[in-house]
Amino acid sequence: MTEISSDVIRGYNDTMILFLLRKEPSYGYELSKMIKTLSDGKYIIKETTLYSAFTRMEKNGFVESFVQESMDTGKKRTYYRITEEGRRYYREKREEWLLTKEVVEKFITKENEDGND
Amino acid sequence: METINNYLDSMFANLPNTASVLRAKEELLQMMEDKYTELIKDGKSENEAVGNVIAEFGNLSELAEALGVEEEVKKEEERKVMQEESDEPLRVLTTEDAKGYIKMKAKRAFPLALGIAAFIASSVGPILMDGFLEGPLADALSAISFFAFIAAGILLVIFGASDRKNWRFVKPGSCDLSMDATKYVVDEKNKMEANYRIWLIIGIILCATCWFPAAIGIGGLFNNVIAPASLFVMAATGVFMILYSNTCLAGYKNLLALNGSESMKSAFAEEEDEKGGDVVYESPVADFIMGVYWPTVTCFYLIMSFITFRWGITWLIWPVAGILHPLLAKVFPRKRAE
Repeated sequence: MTEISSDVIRGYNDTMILFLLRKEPSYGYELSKMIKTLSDGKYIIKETTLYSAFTRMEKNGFVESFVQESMDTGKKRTYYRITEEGRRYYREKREEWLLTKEVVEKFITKENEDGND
Repeated sequence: METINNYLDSMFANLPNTASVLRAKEELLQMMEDKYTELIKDGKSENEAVGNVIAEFGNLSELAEALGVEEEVKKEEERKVMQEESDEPLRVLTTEDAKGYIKMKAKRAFPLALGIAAFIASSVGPILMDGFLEGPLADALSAISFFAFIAAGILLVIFGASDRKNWRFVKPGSCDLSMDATKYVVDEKNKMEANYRIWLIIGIILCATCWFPAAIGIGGLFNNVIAPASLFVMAATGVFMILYSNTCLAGYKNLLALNGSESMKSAFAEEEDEKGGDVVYESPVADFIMGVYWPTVTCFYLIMSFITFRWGITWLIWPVAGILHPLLAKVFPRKRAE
């Protein structure tokens, strides 16, 4: 089975996290679960990847962190919330991806269309 | 959950103990805990859940930039490569190893301290014989007891000074203490340290006050026999207690000195200066001097004593040597475990 290439997806981890945070603030495990669900289990983000994305985006001012007790268990967790700067960055990345996708797609053929494989 | 904790501990063991590293560790544990709880709730077995969480953890190099610890992570990776390439891989000591080493140290400390105490106490026999007996029998007995003490002392010191061969590898650079073992040693040290300190204080008090009976001077038999005999007995007991407690403590300190001074593991091991014992010194000369210190002092003591035959005075070499040893240890720069 083909697996997702971590090199390719690396540039879009931040975008995926920001997309989820646009709706409401969230915390580490919930975000990784949502990424897994939304990708139909095809992409499982590693804990270290997620944490380094948090610190990087916090440094760049795209997200802010705050500690809050979770509603169900009462456990204290670090939540992340998107900033205005983060929303702007997300829109930029969306444009960038649409363009990237459009270009790369032109060089990708469906298996049955290509006789040279 | 214990396994996950240990896994994370070992991943972070050689990273610096900074706020950002601690925070990362806490956050990662939070995420792993959440994942673990949910997997268990979904009916996964303990083993499956732990395996799953660890498999999806990722790797440290990804965190390096975020935490500002690129240097350390790179070093850690280089160290792993070096270990794999070298013939003698860095040995990681387990809790069992640490227990064995501490036991061996205590076992060796006893004859060493006892042997040196025997040198000091060697005059007690002659003093008592001279005081209570008369004639050629007294002379013979006092000579026999005196030489018996010296001979026993030599054997005990030689036996005690040699580190057992199979523990030679315990030195910074060639082995490392596992996280569990570090915890064990620190706990044990904290438990035992108070006891050893009491021994040390009593020993120092005995040495400092051993002249006291001689100074009172009641007269008669007390002045000629009991006071000098008690002086040597007190000095010998005091030196024994000081040496024994110090050597036992050195066992713990040597083990803790194996960990790099800046890593998370060594955060357990309180003050850095405390980490002494038989450390490796920067200059080979210093290393040599400290290595042969006690045997040399013993030789010096014996030579001086036999040349001058003033055993009543030469024993003073021991307290002086005892004071000099920690001073030298402080003066010589030590090699830091990388």
